[in-house]
Amino acid sequence: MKKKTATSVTALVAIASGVVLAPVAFAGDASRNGELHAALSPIPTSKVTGSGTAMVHLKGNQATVTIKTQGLLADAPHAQHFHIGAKGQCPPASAAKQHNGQLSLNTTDGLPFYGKIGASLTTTGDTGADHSALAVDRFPKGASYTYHRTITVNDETAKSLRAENAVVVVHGIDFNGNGKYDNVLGASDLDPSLPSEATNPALCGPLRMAPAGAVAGGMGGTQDSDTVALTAAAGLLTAAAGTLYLRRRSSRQN
Amino acid sequence: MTGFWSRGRRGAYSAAATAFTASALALLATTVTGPQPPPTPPDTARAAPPGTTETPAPRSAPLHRSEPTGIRIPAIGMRTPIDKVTRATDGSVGMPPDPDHAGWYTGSATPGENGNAIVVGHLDSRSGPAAFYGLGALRKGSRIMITRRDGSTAHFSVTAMKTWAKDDFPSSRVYGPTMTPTLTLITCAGWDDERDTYRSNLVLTAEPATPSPQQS
Repeated sequence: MKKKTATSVTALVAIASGVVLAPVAFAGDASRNGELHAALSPIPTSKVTGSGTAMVHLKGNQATVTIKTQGLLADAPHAQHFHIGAKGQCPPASAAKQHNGQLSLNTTDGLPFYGKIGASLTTTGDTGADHSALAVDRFPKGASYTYHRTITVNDETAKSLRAENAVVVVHGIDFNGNGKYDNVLGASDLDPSLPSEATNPALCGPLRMAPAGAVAGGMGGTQDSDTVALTAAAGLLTAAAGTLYLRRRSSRQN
Repeated sequence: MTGFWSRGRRGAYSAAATAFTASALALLATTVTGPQPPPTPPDTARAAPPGTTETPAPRSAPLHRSEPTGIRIPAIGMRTPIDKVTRATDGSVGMPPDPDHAGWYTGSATPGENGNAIVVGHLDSRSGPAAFYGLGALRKGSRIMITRRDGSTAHFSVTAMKTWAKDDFPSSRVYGPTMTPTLTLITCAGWDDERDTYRSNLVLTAEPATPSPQQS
């Protein structure tokens, strides 16, 4: 108990002098492998009401990706990518422009926020940015789906993921609610042979490092014997006396 | 804030001294009546069969992203500022330096927007109760209000309470992203007298609720 009392006194002195007690947290760590999470929310002005989640387990350049969606256009393919190298954010409503007379947000409008494609999250085959970005026959289909695949990403994408700069974007919207991709917003900015609805961003979520393990949320101050509480009271009274002394001094200076 | 500072340094010193004295007297009173262990969560919090997620009922649209500034839980008379916290070196969520404040993990959703908003707090400091001391007294249906930087308030209702051993902590389940707005509150539980530390974490899950007139 004597040891504990000593610790308490030290702690109280620290509190009274405004010294930070808890360990300082750092934004990253050395291993840099781990789990990234994102909640996927509708792109503003897209008329999408669905949502989703993304989890990425990154080990070296191996990314095990799990994406779940709900509320997307049924029976339609949904292109999905890691976007990288910009702000690591989803575009706000103010990024929308007039397209075919409708205020909407196409893939190009969002580039300043989520960046270019780093990897195409296809169901089979190539996952590159160049050849598979719009491989509509190799993307998940439907309103609600679960996508799970381990892919190899390039160094730039791995770096972006670790820097919490990568964004998951799921594409394909039904702006006019007619149950299919059509030309209500004109042709796609990415491939003129496709309707813009088929390639416009629908859901978006910035990937952030997930915590691991339990928290250290207690120091035991309500579990110890009376000694600790008594010491604490004494410490606080000392602090109060000190403060009153300071007050006197400051009034004398005035 | 303006009112506080306009009283000048003398006022501030007096206020601080008064607060310190009050705390000291309160502590003395506690000592006389004996130490108060924190309230314990219900036994149901311990039983934790995996894969028992309930389907949430339909609710109003999620809020836009806006960082939290404060938390209020009327059932336990708790109201405290929320600071930003990041990951500690061991990968866990860092704790707010001030044990009387709660901490919002900046890599999680903001409370009220789509996703899992993670807010942590100390159960106690070395000297006594801290921000989340009373969390174990909450039950399903208890209300939680989070004030946000944009001036809005996100209202939640507790839907689940679980106690998890620290050495068997289901990180993906607790920290995993969600399709709808979810609030996850975490603090310590299960004092171990021999090891002089807490063995477990108490994890509360809350989902959006309509504001109730007497509590808003």
